[in-house]
Amino acid sequence: MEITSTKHNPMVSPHLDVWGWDVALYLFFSGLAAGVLIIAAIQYLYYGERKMSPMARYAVIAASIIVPLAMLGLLHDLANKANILAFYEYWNFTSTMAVGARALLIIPPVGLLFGLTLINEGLSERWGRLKVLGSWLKKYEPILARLTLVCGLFLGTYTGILLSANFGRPLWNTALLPVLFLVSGLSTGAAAMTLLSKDEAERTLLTKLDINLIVAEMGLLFLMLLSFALTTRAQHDALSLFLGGGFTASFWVFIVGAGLVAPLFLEQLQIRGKVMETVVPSIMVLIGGLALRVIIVMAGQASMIPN
Amino acid sequence: MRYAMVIDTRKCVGCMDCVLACKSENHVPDGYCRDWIVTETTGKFPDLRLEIRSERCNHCDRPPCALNCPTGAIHIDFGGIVLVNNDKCTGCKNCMVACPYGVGFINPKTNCSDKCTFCAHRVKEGQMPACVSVCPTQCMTFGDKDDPNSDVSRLLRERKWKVLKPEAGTNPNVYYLI
Repeated sequence: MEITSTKHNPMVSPHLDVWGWDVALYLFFSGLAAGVLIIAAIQYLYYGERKMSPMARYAVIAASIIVPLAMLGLLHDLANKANILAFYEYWNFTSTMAVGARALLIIPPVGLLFGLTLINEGLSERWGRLKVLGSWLKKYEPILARLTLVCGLFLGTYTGILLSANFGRPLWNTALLPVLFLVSGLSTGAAAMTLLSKDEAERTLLTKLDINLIVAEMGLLFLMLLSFALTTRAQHDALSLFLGGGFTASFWVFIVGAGLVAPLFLEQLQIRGKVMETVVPSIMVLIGGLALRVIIVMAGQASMIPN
Repeated sequence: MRYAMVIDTRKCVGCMDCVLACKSENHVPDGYCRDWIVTETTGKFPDLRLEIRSERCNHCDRPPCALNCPTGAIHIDFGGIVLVNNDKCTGCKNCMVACPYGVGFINPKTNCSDKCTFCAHRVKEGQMPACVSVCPTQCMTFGDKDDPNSDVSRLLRERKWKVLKPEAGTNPNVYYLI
């Protein structure tokens, strides 16, 4: 079969990749921030505040600041920036993005308030009113921790739901995508915290957590590919993008090789003391997380329901 | 009332008059188009089959663009026509990503999502869409699918037809007679 179209050729329609690197960067950084918020909130709720290192406390604040910065990627993508307030003036109830746009206004303040109570003790007097606010909020800290956990879970999941809701794109149209994004976000969050941690015991703990997350991510990725292989032609075609199609090399080299297998090996060897502890595995996990978002965003737009 | 377009692939010669008529009627900017021609060859030489189609927005009953539009800028309007309201459009491009037919583009003049409107402004005045009105082989028919006596209903009863990518579950309203 040969199809010639006067529309879908690069001369007529040069914008076949509608969502580009800017959206992928947002997905990566918001996923990372979600991971940090979830890990810190769980640490607080299950192990108690005293066990939290200064790094984990400040990471909550950093993650809350990363979210609005990541939203700059979304702003860059908007073709009609003058109409940005329309996101908040109108609400289409079937749209994930409409919910996300509102949640993105709530998540950073919640994270910042939780972070403020966490660092309040070490805050010097010159922070004045901020310290007063932090002390007053201290009694609500357990509530803020739970809210932060919910915010993190939402932030880590909704981007995957947003993509999967596009039912005309077989590669995205899977319920595993939100879970994959959540676990990948947790893994990049753990890797970022490992890079920032100054305490060796904490780094070991985070590395062990990351090993589990990488294994979970590999399992999810395998299940996703398997589900594509076992279903209708549309998703079969989506799978072929990674098995011989245009995204084969980038998928296996950056996501699977550099992003999952290599850091898993390095982290295992590190834990067993066979290799020196370096920043390499953590950086590889971050690169893998970024590659996952870029490749899923790009390949999803190349994936089409056959005629 | 449910507007539909029926295009006879056995009459279409791919002259692109519909494309030109649309461009001039709707002032579509250079380099962009709201409708286009697809030529599909199937079989092996010398047993070949050629199908020529004029394609455009399918004005689906279950439009993924409108379901995913965060502001409701792209919506189902009168007679089931899917239209973009530029006052609400932020240019987030979710509609373009969502559409399995690739019908949308960002209009560089308005910075808003743009696509075929079934010439809603003409239809309101009782006229045919520009593409339908100029077709030299009269391969296109436009009308109310809900009216059993309309030309489109008659053709859909009497002839074999298909829609594009039915598996997408979008329930398109552009039909192709085969």
